Amino acid sequence: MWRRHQGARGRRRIAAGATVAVAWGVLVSFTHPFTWAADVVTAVPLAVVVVATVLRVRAPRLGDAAGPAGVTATDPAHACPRGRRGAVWPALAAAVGGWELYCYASAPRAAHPTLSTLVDLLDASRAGKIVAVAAWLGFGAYLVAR
Amino acid sequence: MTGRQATLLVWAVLAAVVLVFQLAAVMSGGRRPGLGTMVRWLTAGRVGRCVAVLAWMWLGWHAFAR
Repeated sequence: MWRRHQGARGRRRIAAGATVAVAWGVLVSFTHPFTWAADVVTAVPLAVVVVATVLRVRAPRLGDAAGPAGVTATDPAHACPRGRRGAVWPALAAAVGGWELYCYASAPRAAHPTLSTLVDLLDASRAGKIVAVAAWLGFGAYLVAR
Repeated sequence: MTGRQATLLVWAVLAAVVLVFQLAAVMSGGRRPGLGTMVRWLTAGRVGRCVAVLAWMWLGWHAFAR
């Protein structure tokens, strides 16, 4: 019963968070980079996440014996993935980072688009910008909630 | 094929590889680590979490403000 209640509350919170993220994305989509309006609508979530992260890291969770961070070194949910399967993601990160560096160092930029250029292409449309902002806010919320 | 097309093709291949490995992780029922597992592991400690938040901040500022 309690779990069902918790699940329903969690779903409501996720739905509310997603609604706020999309609404904020709509707001950001009306701004353009290098303007004070873009600075303000980007700085507000930055400030909220920084404050929430500091509060979360400093305050231990209720009933949590694992310490202020809420995580122990032996917690299996946070254990380092080992073996060949665990090596896939670092290898992929190295490949993406290496290709990004190659594109960044190459000229002209139009012939060697970096990840930033690809994000700019996504941001060029209103719908793309709303999706990008909502995804960015979602990841920020995930980092706070951990 | 132009240089731009070749570069975009490499980005597309990298994105496809990430997608395939993430799908494999989801379908393995926890036997293969996914992106979420890696992020959880990286942000398990305070330092990792702070680095992740700083990276998130830079990403948003770079993409939407400057």
